[in-house]
Amino acid sequence: MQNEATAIKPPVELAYEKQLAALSIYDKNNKKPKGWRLSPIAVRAFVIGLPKPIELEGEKVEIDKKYYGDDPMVERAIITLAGNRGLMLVGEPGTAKTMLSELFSAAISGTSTNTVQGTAGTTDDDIKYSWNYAMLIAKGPCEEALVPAPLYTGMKEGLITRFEEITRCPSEVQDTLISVMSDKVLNIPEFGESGFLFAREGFNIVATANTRDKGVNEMSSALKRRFNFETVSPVPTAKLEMEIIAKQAKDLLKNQAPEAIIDEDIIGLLATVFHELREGVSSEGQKIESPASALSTAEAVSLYCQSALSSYYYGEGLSIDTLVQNIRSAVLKESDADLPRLRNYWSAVVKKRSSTSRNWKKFYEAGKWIR
Amino acid sequence: MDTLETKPVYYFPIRHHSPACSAHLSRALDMYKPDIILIEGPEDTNDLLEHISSPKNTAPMAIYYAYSEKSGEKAASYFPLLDFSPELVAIRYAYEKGLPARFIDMPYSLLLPYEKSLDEGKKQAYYDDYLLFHSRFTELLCEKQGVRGHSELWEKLFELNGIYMGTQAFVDSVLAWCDYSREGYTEQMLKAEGCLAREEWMAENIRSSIGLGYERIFALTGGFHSNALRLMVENPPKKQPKKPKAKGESSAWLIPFSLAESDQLAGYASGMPYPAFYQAAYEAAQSGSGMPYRQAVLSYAAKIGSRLRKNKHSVTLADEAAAFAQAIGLAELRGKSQPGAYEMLDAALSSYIKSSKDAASFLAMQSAGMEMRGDKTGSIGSGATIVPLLSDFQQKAAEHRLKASSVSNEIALDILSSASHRRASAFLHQLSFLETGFASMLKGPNYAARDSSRVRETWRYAFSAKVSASIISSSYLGGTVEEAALTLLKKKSLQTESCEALSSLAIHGAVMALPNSLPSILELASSAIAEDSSFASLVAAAQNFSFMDSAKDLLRLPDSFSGSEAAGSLINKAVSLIEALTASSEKEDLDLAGALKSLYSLLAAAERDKEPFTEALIYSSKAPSTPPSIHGAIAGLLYALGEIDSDGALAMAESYLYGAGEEMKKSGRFLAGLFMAAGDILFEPKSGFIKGMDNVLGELSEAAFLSVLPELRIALSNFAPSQIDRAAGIVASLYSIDAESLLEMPVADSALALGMALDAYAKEKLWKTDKN
Repeated sequence: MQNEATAIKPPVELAYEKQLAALSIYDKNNKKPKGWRLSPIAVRAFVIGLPKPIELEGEKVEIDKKYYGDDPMVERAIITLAGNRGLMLVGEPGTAKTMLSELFSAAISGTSTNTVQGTAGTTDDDIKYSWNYAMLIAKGPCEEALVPAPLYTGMKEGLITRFEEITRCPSEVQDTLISVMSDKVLNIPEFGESGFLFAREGFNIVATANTRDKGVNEMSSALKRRFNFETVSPVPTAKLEMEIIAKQAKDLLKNQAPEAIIDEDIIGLLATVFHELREGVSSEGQKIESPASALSTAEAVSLYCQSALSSYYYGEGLSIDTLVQNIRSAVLKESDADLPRLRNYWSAVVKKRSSTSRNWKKFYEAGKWIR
Repeated sequence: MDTLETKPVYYFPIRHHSPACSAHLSRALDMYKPDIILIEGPEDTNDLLEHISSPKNTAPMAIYYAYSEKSGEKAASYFPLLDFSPELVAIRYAYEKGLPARFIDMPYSLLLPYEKSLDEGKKQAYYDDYLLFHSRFTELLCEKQGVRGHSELWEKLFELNGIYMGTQAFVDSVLAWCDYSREGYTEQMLKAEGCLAREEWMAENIRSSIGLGYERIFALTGGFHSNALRLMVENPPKKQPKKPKAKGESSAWLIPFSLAESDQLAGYASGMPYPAFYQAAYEAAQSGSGMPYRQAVLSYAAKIGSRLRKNKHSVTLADEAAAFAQAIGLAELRGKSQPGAYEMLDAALSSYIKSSKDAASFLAMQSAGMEMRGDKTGSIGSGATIVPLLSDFQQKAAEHRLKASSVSNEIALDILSSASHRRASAFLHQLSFLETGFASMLKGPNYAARDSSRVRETWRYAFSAKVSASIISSSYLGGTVEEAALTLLKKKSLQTESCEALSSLAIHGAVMALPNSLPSILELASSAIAEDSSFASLVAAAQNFSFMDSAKDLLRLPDSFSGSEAAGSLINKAVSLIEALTASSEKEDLDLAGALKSLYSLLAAAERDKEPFTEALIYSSKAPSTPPSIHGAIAGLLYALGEIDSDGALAMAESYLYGAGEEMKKSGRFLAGLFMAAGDILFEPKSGFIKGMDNVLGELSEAAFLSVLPELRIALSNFAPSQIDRAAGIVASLYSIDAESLLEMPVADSALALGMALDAYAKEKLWKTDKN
């Protein structure tokens, strides 16, 4: 296994190890559901932050806001996980569904890696368990020969089990979960009469599904009934989106290129463009035709990082031309019909702003890349 | 048991329509044992207090307050009273204990100048908690408590947790919030809002109660005013400022109100949202529940579930149980003693909606909100203050089995075969004539447009406080609905000099079953004929009166009624005006052409002498200035009368088609008039009209043809599809083509493609125009 400290993106429980430790101190008097490491109050604090730092061994630990958006939704999601239904996070791509599910599972179970990564090729074995065939032949069906998959592990150890992109799996594979979720028991016929794995307290499922992409499978209503649905919405305001882009870009660039430029003005501009194109209306109230492709905040972050890295390695300032080229390729993922929409945005909205600031002027001029 | 300070005045702070305030208020009254109760409410409605307290009434009710200035400017407001409104609780308490109770606030009429000075749209009702909830302090408190707005903040602090506080502690917390909120306003702002003037008014009333020797005064006002009032009462001004006086007239009534209308979210700014939910919680608390809100959530988890099931959402019993558990868990996480309205809605969203946020889930949540809003309507049984017109309305509505519900209902009336249905129909027609907003006819005969093709009427109706208010504002017209409708009918008929309007009022009188009104209307119409010089109005009036004559049985008119005489005079006057039509404007010419044709039909039906009519037509046909559509209609009518043949009509058409420039462009309108008056000209066996037209059109240059084409199309719209088919057949036969084969001709791909592209282009353009 790779050492997690040098991982590109360490798991949440490592990245926020200190915060989680501090929260368990903060949490002393709060009620915890059985099998949970933290109380719902501390889990909420971990996700949406605390106004004051917590003292941990003489050090002040800041609990920062990790998810920006609908706080009541976060509360509903946490309470759902404490109940007997699974949590289904749905929403457009790039709205931080995965991040939320990682935060929840790290805070509740101490691990965010007990995860099924749903694809069109996911099988029952990838979800429940499979066999080490050499061992199976040598010893027959026994625990040693069983290779646990995330659902098995989650039930056995009482962990939140994450199921990413559940709708990408074929419907019949999704339905594996139905009886497990209602009865909280996994049947292992190979073990004979003792072949039951009863879920330990603390077990539950957080699934994510996205509503925009093509090639997804409809969920059966039987499975839907076993989940509470929460919609994770795109960031509500351009200002908030700008804060998120700046924070996440900083985090991402920290390891790779610590001196890369974080230009708040450019980030503000980028956030505005993404936000307006997504919402279909400019801040002045002009109507804009939204492109078909999903323009997520995550996309804006990677777009900015790309531009910043390019300027870092080639030793030039942050180039607005590069930025516009990147925007073009971000918008044109789905359909060519999006190019005229982008051009319209330039001529209707960007043009007007070009007289208001230097950056908008440069941005307007870089419109040559989308001609 | 806590004790209350016993100064001469106890100031009890409230939020309007707060169940927690009401619960503590009951306790406070029991503890304080006042000898008089003073309530923030317009002092000139004190007469209503006794009726408000009457056990014969059921809440929701409201004080409806109307004010009119001599200049004719009018204003009105509602002061809703729900079972859980502290004001109503206090009034009922006073009644029960035989204590005096008084409203002490400024009359609404005096507040109007302040209201006008405020920003439009910021406030919707005067007695609201606007200042309290829009303060900077409240904003910061919301942020700190992690709630979504002031209503949730209030619920969390004072409803869910506040009901467990001692009464004095509760009062102190409400006062603390109010005083901090008040800090955010300057004296000038409060003055501009009218807040200070009202407080001076109330303080003066409190002082005068002290002066009258009351020793235990209980003053119930919005929390925002409580401490300010205490200071003002304790420090009276040296010189008493002059009390302003209203210039206009005001009056107030007690009317039935509905939960739906008291909902803050439905626009009543001073209320709480979700009144039915709070009513349920209040009732649970009254019946001794230790967790009233939790009980309300339990009952609404089931109610919302069943409402959604009715709307085809699959909500199971397990979902309802999950929702209840979710609400409790959320309350705990949010530091609330029990779940409230917001936890209920959150739980419904989590547990009942099985999809991402979309239009369907939005509608489902809206429906959940509607359930929590409720649709209960109150009633006023205490008689005395009720306006006679309103009580007549209620009595008649009950007689006709119309439900007094704010939910809209439909009723179908068989007006031909059932006498009771006819009476109900007349009643509904009277109400809609009075513009009460109570009922509207969805389907049925439209006698006003002389359409009697239907024999059943379907009405949709719903009762609301607005309906009460509009009935009250009509009360000057009479004591019964029938009387009011009759008065209004007479009033309207005296105000108009148009024969058409009078005749249509006569029809209204007939459908409202007010035959007594008819003689006077007929008389007015007869004398209006001389003055009315509008050709269209005269013809329409003649048509209306003739229609009434012919539909005497349907309209249940007395035998003595005769519209024919009036119709005759109207026709004569109209005929005399035909020559004047030649000078009418082109804008209205198609309408006038229609009226001309109607006049011809009237003459034909009445078997009257057509000579003056024919003469007038011949004269007008020769006048050079006659507008084209009228000219066309004249040509058609002359053809119908046998004065000219199809060649004659064709010659008149040619004069346009061969005309120069602008004149040629009028040919379409001429033909429109012609076809409207005498469409059969195309199909007469001997008629050479089509052939002639074909020749003429064939000779036109393409540019000229294109310029008349749009109007020609409009002209042809006078024909039914089958007639157009026939005409096409005649044209085809001119060219010895089989009309059928024309339809089977293959369409070239390029033509089809062009057509589709044009279609798409038009659609896009139209869509854009529509969007803009």
